[in-house]
Amino acid sequence: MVKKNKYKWLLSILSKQIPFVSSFIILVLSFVLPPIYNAKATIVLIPIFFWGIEKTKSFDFIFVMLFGFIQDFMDGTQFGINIFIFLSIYFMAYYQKLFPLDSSFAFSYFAFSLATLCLLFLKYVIISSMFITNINLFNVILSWAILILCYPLFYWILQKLNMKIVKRY
Amino acid sequence: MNKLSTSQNMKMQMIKRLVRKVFIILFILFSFVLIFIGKPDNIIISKTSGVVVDVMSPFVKVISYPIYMVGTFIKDVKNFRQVDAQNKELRDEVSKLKEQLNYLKQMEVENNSLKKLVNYTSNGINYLLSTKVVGASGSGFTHSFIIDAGARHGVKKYQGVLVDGYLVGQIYSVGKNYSRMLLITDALSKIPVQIERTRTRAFLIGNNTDYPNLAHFENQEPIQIGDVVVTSGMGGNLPSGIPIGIVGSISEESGIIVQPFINKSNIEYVKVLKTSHTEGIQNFINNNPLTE
Repeated sequence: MVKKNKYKWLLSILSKQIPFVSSFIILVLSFVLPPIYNAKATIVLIPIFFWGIEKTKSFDFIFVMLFGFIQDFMDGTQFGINIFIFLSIYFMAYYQKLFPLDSSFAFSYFAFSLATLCLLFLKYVIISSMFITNINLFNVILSWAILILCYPLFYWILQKLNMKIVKRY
Repeated sequence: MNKLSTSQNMKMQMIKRLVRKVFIILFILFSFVLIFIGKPDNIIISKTSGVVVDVMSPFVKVISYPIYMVGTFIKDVKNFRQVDAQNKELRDEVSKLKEQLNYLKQMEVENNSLKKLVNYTSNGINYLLSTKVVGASGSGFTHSFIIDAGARHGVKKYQGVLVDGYLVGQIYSVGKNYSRMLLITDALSKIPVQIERTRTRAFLIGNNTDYPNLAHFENQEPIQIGDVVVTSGMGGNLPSGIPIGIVGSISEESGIIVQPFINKSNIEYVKVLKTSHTEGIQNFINNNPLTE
């Protein structure tokens, strides 16, 4: 019993870092995972959306901006595009009022799919117009499909972290 | 008193929430404006990119290590079955290469004597720096790799990157210990090339697919499917004659499509072409009174 109390303060501090750390690891993972038919999913959108829905206080929009900043520079795309996409999805998730009415996985899955499809299409339009050459639309759709396929796995991991550590401590 | 303070607290929290909301909206708008201002080839953005790549790459390296180990293990298991056959093949190849080496030695002697005869001076000493690919871009919108060599190792912007002697990309941003290379298939990539057979000059332009396009022809020499595309040496960043790929298809709809010799999914190790061309041009710009 004494042991539990001893570590509670430490777990409380650590639990506050989990949203940032988990998102950061997933961001780094996106640079490591190999592409499938030239398509690569921006998997960091999953934790951003997830922690946005959970309205976790320790995951502020500054972190989302930082992730967008890192992604922009690591990718070498038009500077600002990922900051814009990441902040937009965070804003959508954080300020929506539908999830308290229906907080099921299926509903969040559908909302995430729709939001990312719109944002990725917007990104495609912006980048295509900036580079003049047409970027393969099939790759964009494939990237989105991979992202959607990855969602349940990452959702499950993040949900476990949220229930077992973040909410408990 | 308590009620008053709770209502005041509620009000304060509401204001805080509103301010936060306004801030996020402002940042979203700001980032949208940034898209149209911040071009990737901007000097400040390029330098910041080098710093970010430097900071992030150790994390990428750590996380990629277990994935790399698993991949290597699977490859080793697969290769183990074919060891005997590979051994035979390698022995044959070694004996062939020995013959070729002897022939090349003779050619070198002959070449050196001919160079002396015509007072030939080389236009650039090229040497290679072998390095490992640490990571790749995090989305399908760009085709770039992060490599384990930076300014500390002599890597500079626009240096060529080779795999097995074929050009696969160019250095785009340089950090102290790591760099980001742009593949020839990236939409930002534009490399001056020529058709080896006809010497027709063109630009190899990436389009974020596996097959870049040829564009901007100097003259209208007919190009055939199967023609080899090599660097032209124009611009001074890359020496001429480095093979890139072959003309894969020609059509009115999609233009001339080049099939690179190296598939980017197989790239693990690369060689950075450190050429004195770049240094020579930089020195010329630095020392030229007209450019001051």
